[in-house]
Amino acid sequence: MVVIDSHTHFAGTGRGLPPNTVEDLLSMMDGNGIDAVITCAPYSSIGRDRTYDEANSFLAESMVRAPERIIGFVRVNPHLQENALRSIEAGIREQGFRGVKFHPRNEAFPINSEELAFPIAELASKLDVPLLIHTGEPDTYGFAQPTLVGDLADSFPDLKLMIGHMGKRLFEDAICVARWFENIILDTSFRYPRDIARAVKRVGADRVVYASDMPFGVPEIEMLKVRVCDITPEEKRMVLGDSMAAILGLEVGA
Amino acid sequence: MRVIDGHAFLGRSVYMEQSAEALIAEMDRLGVDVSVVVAPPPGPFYDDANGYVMRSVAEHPGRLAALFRANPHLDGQVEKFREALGQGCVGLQLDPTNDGYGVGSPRMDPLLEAAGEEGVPVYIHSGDSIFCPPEAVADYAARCKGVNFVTTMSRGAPRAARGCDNLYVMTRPFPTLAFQRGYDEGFDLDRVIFASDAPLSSLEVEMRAVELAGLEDALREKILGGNLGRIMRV
Repeated sequence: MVVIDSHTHFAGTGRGLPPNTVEDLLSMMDGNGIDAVITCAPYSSIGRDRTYDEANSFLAESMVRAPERIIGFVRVNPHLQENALRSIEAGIREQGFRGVKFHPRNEAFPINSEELAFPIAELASKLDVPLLIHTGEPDTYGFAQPTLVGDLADSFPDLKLMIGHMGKRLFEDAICVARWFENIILDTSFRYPRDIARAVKRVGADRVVYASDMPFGVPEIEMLKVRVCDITPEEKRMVLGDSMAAILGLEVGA
Repeated sequence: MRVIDGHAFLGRSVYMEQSAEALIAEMDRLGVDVSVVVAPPPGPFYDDANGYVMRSVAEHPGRLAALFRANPHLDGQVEKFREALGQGCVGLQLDPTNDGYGVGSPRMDPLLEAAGEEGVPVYIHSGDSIFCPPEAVADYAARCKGVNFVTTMSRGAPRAARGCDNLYVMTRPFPTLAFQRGYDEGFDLDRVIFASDAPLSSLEVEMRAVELAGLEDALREKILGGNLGRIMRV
């Protein structure tokens, strides 16, 4: 069975978040039976210039050390649009990144902002890589609700959109919008076994992917939720790794 | 070591379903001695659901302990609560989110007085709506010093509970970064209570989460039952 953790963060030493080194990351993966991680910079690694340039560079160097196991997504700040588009272009074409991540709460923008989010989605679609989006409960201005992802899904039907954390407590909203748009994928981080089972039943195991949000979540616990939930062994195999491998066209653990 | 699940649901609602038999089987499989059980939300009427819980507790003596779920909007709740206490109920459950009132509402006061007179803890759901932020539960607990309160883990709960020694916090969802920060900042782990919220979450997952928290044996034993045992007749 292939296991891919579809949403993690890795920043290296000095960012206050484990794991500190590539060796630590690979050791953690080995200890949990994880073949590959999809990883991106955490918010704590944002630079004083409000870009993720340094963190993305660190990740690019880390990917070279274990290219089949560390799969990087370029993290961008949509407010710095020129930097964001340049980072995505260079990251995908030259540095080996396989996707894009943005965070509407940390960077403070609505997921469906035509000014800030649409150009990034358009470029990700053009480059044929997924866009991973943090989602969750509404904040003061309503930036991060999972239903807003539907606006992007509608406008960019060829773009694969990953709803991070399945909307957290708004998981029913996330499941609904994923039923409406087939280019939406749900990650399981922080959801409970019965919610994961419901997502698989309503959306299909090919669009529900195991994720821990490590180091904010605990990989073993998030994986256990998938293992104990009421879905078939075949569906568990898909959620734990096969579905994400198919989405990215990966040959992991071969 | 006696393991007590401090909060699980029993019965059926539009949200969930769990029978006593299914819960007992899971407890046996995982080594849980006692589960504190409560009728599932939403209401507004809980008579039938409370009845199922009380009957189940009577059928499984020593394995299940009942909370009485009250809706303070309704008449006769104090009398029904006292009746349940007479039948062995061990605490009160209030759920401002599902029943629609703010923590600290005067509607709660008669039930709190009864709980205080009987010396049983009061569970207050918190953390997910404007009705019940953990800070409001802490404020209310500070006003009701004679009563022990148990509330939901959330990002703000450890901080809210830190200066309030009659407020206990359940583990779920444990261990989160918020909890770890609360731990680091000196939150009193003698006031943390293991709770699965099964079947919303999974007893197995939540027990494993406590095991992975890296706690010393003595502290883990307190969280898995000792702390609750100090404030509840289980």
